[in-house]
Amino acid sequence: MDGKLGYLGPAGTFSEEAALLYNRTHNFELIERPTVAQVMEGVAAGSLEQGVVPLENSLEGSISITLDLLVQHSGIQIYREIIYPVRQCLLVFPGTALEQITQVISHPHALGQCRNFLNTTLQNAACRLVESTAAAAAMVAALPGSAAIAPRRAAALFHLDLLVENIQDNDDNVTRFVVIARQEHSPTGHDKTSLVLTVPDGPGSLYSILGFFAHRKINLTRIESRPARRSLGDWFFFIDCEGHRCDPSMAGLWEELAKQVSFIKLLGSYPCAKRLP
Amino acid sequence: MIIVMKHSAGPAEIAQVEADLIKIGFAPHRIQGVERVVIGAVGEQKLPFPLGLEILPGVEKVVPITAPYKLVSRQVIVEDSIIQIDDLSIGGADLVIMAGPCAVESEKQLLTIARRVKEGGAQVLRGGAFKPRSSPYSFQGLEREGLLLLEQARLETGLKVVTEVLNPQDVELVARYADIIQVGARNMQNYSLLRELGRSDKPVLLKRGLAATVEEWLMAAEYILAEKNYRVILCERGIRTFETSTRSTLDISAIAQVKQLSHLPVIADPCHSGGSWRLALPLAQAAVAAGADGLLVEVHHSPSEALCDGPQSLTPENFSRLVEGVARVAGAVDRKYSPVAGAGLEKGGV
Repeated sequence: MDGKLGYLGPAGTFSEEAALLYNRTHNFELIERPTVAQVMEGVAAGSLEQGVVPLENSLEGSISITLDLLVQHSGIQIYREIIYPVRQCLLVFPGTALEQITQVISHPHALGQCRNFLNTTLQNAACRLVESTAAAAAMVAALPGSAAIAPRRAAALFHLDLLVENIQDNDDNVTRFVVIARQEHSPTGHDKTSLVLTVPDGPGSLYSILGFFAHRKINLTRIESRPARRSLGDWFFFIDCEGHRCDPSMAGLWEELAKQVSFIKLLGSYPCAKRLP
Repeated sequence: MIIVMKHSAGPAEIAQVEADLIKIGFAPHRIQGVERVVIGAVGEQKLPFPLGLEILPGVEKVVPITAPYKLVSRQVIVEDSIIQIDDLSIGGADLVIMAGPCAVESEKQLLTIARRVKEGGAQVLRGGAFKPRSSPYSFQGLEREGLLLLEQARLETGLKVVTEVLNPQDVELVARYADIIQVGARNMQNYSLLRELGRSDKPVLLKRGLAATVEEWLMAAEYILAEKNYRVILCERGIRTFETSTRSTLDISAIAQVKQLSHLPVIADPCHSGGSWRLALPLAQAAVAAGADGLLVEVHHSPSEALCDGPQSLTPENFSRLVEGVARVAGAVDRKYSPVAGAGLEKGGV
């Protein structure tokens, strides 16, 4: 037994599927937690050994709560990433036909991933937001005339009819989950590093920060800004780059960056995930 | 033994001597001096002297080393070794002060102390992530999580980091985070650990065992140098004597002695030895006067709440006083003390 692996519950979400996928090569006891914050706190406090939380989706973008908490929590790191294909399904109260649906219930990200389907097929149905796809499925189980957008697995879990499969706007729809832990992964030779920094106010400051990566020929795989939650115009930049934090190609980089920026935090170095078919 | 090459010896002649040494069972260590090359030859002496090395081209003389330790001996390397870590030199004219908590306890604790010791004039942050404790029931450290916090403190303050490793399999892990890897007194004769550190590219801070003689201490350092890691810093931290009024006895004479026997830098830990923060300043001054190249000091922003070694930790205010007091002695013994430029630099944080 490897200890406890927390995930964003309830059972029947894509987070659970990602956690189950990760656990195929591990031997954790899966523990459901109702919020991303509780997964992170559990790992930080040691009651969970590791945790699986969503970080970003290819159609809907970042999960802002995960980014914010990664900055706030100390002593926890991104330990692995999991790229999980998201196949959304339309699940209904048993016996409900497509034209009988008056409301569609799901997580805001799931609704966003199926925007085209909703606009063409269910343009008259109202949308209702809940905290997870599994919660949506649980509600629909008691609400005739309503539908949930949820993973296929939720149909069996909540005894719903699977009405339409693969309703996401793009077949390449993937969500990137991260495994967080109180330690860093060792270098594997095919790694990625995530960091967050704030750039000082002034002309060309972001340009000069990115120059440190460019001069070393380090490929950036993602850059994104989020409010630093202090004052307007004060931003965090989240950067993912190729390579492990302690690869020789990165020697001295972090010290140089730290001298230029007002805040920098390394969020973890971890093996690049293979994309699942 | 050492083979002193002539001024005129070229690379081919040096390589020939090294090849011949290997043939007769010695490991050659090439030492590039200011004027000439000296080759340290270590290994078990199987053949009787003379070995006939004197007649090889380019060889000036062959000198047997009488001490049991070879590569750490001043007979082999005459000049003081200066250990360079980016812009920080250890073992030169400048004193180096390493300060921080005994154990990394939390992000807040570590960053608070790191900022305070930087303001106070430290160049290196100490902090244990893996803690060897006398009791298995005492706090054992935050381990890997502690390493992550040290990394964050390093980025935030620009201080170098020294932290302890307890066993050989963790050397690679700790080396990823530390600028200097510490071997604690209890592990001084853990030879498999020393060998592993000898294969690392990070400098090693080797504390003297609490009942180790100077010769045993230097032999322990020899293990690291024999594996070709020449960047070793010795640390006197007090030995066990009949005296019970202090936790242990800081062996000032060993500092002066080792500076003569060895070319390696020597620093002193005035906190563990006295066992009380009240003794730290006079012991630190005495160590510097005796020739120590630096100090390793325990600082905690709230010693009464420390999870480890509270009574011997200095408050940040007392640490600043210690640094001032040490700087005065440094001037009197022709040492310099120049804390890193930009100490106390204000940075925004989260």
